[in-house]
Amino acid sequence: MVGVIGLVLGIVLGLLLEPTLPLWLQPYLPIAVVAALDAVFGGVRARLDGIFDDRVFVISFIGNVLVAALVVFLGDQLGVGAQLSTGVVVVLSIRIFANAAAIRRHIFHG
Amino acid sequence: MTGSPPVISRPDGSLSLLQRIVDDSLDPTYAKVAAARADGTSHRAPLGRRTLAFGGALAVLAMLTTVTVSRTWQQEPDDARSRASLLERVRDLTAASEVATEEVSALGEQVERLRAEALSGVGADARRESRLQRLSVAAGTTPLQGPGVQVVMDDGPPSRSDALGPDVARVLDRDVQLVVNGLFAAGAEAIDVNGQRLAWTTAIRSAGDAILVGFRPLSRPYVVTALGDPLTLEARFADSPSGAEMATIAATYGIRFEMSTGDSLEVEGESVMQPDYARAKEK
Repeated sequence: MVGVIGLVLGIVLGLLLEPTLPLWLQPYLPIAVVAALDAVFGGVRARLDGIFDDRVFVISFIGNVLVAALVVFLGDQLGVGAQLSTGVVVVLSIRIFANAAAIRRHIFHG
Repeated sequence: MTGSPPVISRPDGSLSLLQRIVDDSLDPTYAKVAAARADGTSHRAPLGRRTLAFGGALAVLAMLTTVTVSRTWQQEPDDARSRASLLERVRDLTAASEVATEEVSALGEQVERLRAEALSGVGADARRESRLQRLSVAAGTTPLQGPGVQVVMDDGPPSRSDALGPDVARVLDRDVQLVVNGLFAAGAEAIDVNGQRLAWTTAIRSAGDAILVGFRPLSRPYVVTALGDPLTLEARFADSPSGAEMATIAATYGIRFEMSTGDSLEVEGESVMQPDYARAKEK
């Protein structure tokens, strides 16, 4: 419920405010979104496991986003930005899939 | 969590790396903090704060996603628009060049006609007219017809043998040059390649994969039409070093190379550069 409210609020805010991001930040946004998605899936799974903790969640959320952006930034500076982005996306999507599978097992098989 | 997974030694280390990512997909800190709470060393945050953290994070995620997606959507029309405008420019320029080409040939005909009129007006200066005709035939500006030979060259079937590597069964600019030079040496009087007359400024070269004659790219097959004595042209070409080399190349690399004689062949004319500054030397 809270999650749905948060999602709707975020979408509305994003559409209404249409924050103009500084240009140097834009390449890192897609990766940051994927990293945030990973943290959220982890949080939902922890919630269903009954071990959710807000501090861990917030730290993992912010940490994920920052580290993902940093890795891509470093990769850009080193000239391997595209490859590193691919690596980050692969690892994060594996985690997202694993967490999504765990969430599915919780919901459908108790 | 199901506790530490059983350690399976794998022959390939990279798979265990993937396995670790899957096993650790849930941040292990959650389990640690939960265990600490169970021990009583840590306290659970009040429900309100937990909810706020979760909802807030989701709001941030949704906002980030919205911004990114809307940016992607805005970008797509831009790309499509620039592509469309490029295509339009290409089409415009192609049409313009076609119009210009037509204009050139129309003007050329007009020049021809006016010259003929002017010459006939002067009154029976037949010698001058025949001299002009002879010169334009020699310069390659008039379409010609007559007996001669026709050479057809084409790429062979791709890569007959791996040892030779790919792309060897291709006609190169050098092959066309060889044939043209050989034909001239064998007594050809006028030559065109795929309707492109070889005048005194015409170069045969290649750009990338394409063979250019007079800076115009040719498409396969390559047809070399040479006017000359049909009785001797073919034989003299075949006997010449160029002919022998071309036969070897064709046999070695599997290039199609055929020669035939014709009684009434035609070669195109080519507009040649007119000298603006150069003058005939005074005697």
